[in-house]
Amino acid sequence: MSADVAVGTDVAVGTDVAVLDAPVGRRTGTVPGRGAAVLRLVRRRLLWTVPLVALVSLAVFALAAASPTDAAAAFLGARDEFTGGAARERVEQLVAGTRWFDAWWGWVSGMPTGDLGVSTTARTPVVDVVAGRLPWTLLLMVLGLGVGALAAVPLALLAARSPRGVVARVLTSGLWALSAVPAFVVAMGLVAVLALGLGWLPTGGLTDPGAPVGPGQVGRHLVLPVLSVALAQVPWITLHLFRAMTVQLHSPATAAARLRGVPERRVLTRHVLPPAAVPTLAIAGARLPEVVAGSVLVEEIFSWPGLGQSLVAAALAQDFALLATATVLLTVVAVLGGLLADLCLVRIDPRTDPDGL
Amino acid sequence: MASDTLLAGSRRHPPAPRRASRAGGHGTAPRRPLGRAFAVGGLVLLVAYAVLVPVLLPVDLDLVDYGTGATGPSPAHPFGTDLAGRDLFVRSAHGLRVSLVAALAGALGAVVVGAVVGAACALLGGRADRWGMRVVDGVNAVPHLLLGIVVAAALRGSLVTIVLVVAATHWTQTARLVRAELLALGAQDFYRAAVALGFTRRQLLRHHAAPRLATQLAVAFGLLVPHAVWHESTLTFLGLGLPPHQPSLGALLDLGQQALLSHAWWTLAAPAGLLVAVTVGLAGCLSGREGEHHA
Repeated sequence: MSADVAVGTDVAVGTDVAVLDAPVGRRTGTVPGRGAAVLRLVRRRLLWTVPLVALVSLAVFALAAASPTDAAAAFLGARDEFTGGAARERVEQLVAGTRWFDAWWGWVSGMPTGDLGVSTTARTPVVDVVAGRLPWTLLLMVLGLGVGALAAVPLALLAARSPRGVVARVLTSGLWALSAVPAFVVAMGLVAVLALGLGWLPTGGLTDPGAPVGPGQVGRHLVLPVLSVALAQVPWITLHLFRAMTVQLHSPATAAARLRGVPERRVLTRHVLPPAAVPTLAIAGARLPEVVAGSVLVEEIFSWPGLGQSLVAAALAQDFALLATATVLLTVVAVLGGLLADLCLVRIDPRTDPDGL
Repeated sequence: MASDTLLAGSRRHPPAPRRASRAGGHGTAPRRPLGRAFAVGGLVLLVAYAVLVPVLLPVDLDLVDYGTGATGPSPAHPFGTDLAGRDLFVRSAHGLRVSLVAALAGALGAVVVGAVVGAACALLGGRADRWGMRVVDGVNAVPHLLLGIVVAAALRGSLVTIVLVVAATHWTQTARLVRAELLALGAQDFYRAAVALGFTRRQLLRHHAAPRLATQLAVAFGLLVPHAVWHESTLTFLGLGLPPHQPSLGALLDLGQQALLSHAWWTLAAPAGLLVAVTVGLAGCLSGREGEHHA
């Protein structure tokens, strides 16, 4: 895909100047009709989330109905042991009389008014659970992905300085091995070493027990979860970036820049890195569901009060109202993140056709 | 539209690293042959460990002995013992075996479902194909782990549930692969010639489609296995997979996390090390074939 990427103004080698695309990383002009195409892309993706949300939630409710567990007990949640006699009978009749499709329709029709049912695990309306937890999840994901991407760039540059050198080889094998380690094992390793072994950082939670929520407290408790999410992203970002950069290193544009006497450092950062970032960004959009999944695990390990943790709690306690909402929301986060990545791609690479994304 | 989805699918993926490194004459290719031999050897050892140890060292897995609880690695207990005094060398072997069985069955299920759906899409074409590919896109848009959590929550954890979860969430890549491969085949001149010569559908399938698909499916299966191991251990670790008394890698990791707080690091190190070794070994065996080991 990136083999034909060449910085147009730098193509000066040989007589046949084959590739004269617009320069990457700088915009020389606007492509007519591009704004409308971008709007079409946004509209198409947003419209696509509607059937997706419908199907995912439908699947959750259908599976809930197929579940072999006692539906009345699941409905009552923690109140199960204290509900008996006539009250219990009424609940059982109600549960038995509600078809799963009607339950789903009730959930969907409550959406516009913000009524998504009551969570039996949190014992509060689902909306309140989501409002309290989604921001923490987003904070963790954005910071984790950001730190991972920021760490990956210097690593890829380091490897690209001599792609066949010892540094590059050690780095790629090390990252390759790291990518095979599941995120939750990495997270537990961090807990073992940095929290329990050295005692530098807390093992989990949002604040110390009883301490008020403030930037200092949250910041300290945020380090290990963010590091865990970031460490899961560093290998694939670095390896893809490095791979794209090695291709780019052999482009005519790079050769021309070297011939003109551009310093090697500048060649790497200005002529090789920007075009190599384009395919990496394209992959990032497709990898976002995995980032979401990884953050669910990290939240669980660090008792981070995000949506992922309540998703797992809801699944364990058969709390299907919360389970459906959390699943749908995290899916939407992944889809919107993918859209954002594609919009960035359209912005930095003028050759991308928004209608083809 | 149909070809649009196909192209959109392939554009998102990076060029295969082998091709890229070959084109550039760089990359990690030189160390591969040695690395592959190492990976295959390691994998054989791991499988032998998982298969033989439970047979050679028959121990009551549920026997609790707090007298020998939480002792570190020693000659008597190479991997140490857990908080309840159970030998981790034997328990880990059992766990690895359960995890491998779950992963192999799950990966097989995913490949079979994917092959059927992909072939159906390619052969039926038209509206069925469009809708089929939309379902594939839809399933892909949902993070696999979330789908797995939902399915496991509804069906309650067991070996069958794990296999179902892995198959239900991972068939999409195979479906895309098979569909693309069959569509590419259909456009080939020799295939059209065979159709024009009046070969039956069965003959076409047997002599043209099957040989082409067999290797592709084998690689897809191999790439899915490490991912399936990961899924089993993750779901069980979260408490949604196999029951805690069945020593799978995930269950051992879960116990390890609890034991970590009492500084019994080896209870975590043994299953975590095995999990990483299996994933690296499986991915290493296949790295030359397909390169990309994401899924």
